[in-house]
Amino acid sequence: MSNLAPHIDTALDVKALDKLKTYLEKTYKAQGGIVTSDRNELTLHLPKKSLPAVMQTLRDDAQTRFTQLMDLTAVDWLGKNKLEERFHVVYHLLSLEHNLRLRVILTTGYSASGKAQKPDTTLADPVPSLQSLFPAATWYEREVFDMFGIPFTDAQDLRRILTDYGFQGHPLRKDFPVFGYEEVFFNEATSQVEYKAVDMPQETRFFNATSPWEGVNNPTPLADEDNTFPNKALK
Amino acid sequence: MNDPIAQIKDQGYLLTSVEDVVNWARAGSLWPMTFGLACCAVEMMHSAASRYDLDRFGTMFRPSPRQSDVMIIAGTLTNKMAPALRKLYEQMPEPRYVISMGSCANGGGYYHHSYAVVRGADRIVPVDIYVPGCPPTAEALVYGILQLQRKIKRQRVFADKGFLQPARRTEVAPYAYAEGEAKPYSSLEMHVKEEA
Repeated sequence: MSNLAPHIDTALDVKALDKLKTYLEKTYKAQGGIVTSDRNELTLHLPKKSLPAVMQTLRDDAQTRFTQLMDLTAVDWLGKNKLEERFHVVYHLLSLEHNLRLRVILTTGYSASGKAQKPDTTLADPVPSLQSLFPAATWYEREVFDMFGIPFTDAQDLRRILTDYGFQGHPLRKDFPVFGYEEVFFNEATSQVEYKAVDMPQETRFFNATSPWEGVNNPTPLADEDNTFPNKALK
Repeated sequence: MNDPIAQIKDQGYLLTSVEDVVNWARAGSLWPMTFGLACCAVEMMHSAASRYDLDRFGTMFRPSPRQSDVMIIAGTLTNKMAPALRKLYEQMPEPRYVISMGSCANGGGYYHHSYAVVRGADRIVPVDIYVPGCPPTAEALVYGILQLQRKIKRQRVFADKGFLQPARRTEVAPYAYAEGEAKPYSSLEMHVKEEA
């Protein structure tokens, strides 16, 4: 085990974590589960179809008792993963009884036939909903649907939750422009708050986010290397 | 009104214009609508709390637009909130004023490039006073309110409505002293003279 965070190592029952890892590997191998461990954190990679059954056993099994869904989010790996596996949907579970945490990851994306011309508004392949198992999943799933455009099958209430009424697109996708498409203004002629196409008169500047300070883990970026996001991702 | 106290002591009454009285009353009881949208709202609370105490200026926060004179937009105005903000502004009785507090309300600020944020509250409502800062201190907001009071006191209430023709204030040429005529000392000049 690493000594990067000794205070965490002492607080965490590493033996219990190893035990859980072998247990998970043994139990969920048949359902296609792969367990990885990194920095004393366990991750269970699952195929989409086995998610509800596995989550139910994770919750109810006396060996695990992951009764709390702490977080549900997604990651867009555009430009790194192929489109079929573009998104990771990530679940964080907590077992109060065993003082253990587990991350469950599954992948989704566009099936080959569903790939559309405008990936901005095209929904990804649906993921099984966990609302019946964990009521906490309801708003999280709405958020993931809103921000990433990943629909959840059997979700009772799949409306947008954060963005504006009538909003188009999914802002946390990497191909969503940061300015968006519309901006809001008050129209004196009609006396109403209206939308118009976004207009940014000032030229956009792309900042290089890498640090200019040279170090062991932080080499100075080459001058001709283009690290700015859209250029790098589209290469 | 050069010296109102002396005038009262001397004659027992004051002479002024209705316009000045109306503006004095308006500026002295600015009731803001509580419109906290982000961290600026915390500084707005500080300005109302005991240390800065906006009550001293007759400024008391109201929970309803119907009872308010001024809307302090304290924080980030998002696209989703914009129609609601405009509606609340329109529910305020006239005369109504708007103070835009902090970078976000002034021009989008930190979120200027965001897909979800209005790049300046003045795209939605007309703004009278812009208070800069991220967030502005409570003192800065109090200063902004005092500036709004100054602005209100300069208003031409009746002239703008066509009641007063011609303009009320006429330019008066300064008194021309004759050669050798004694000029009154200013207080500073007297002070200098005594020292010498």
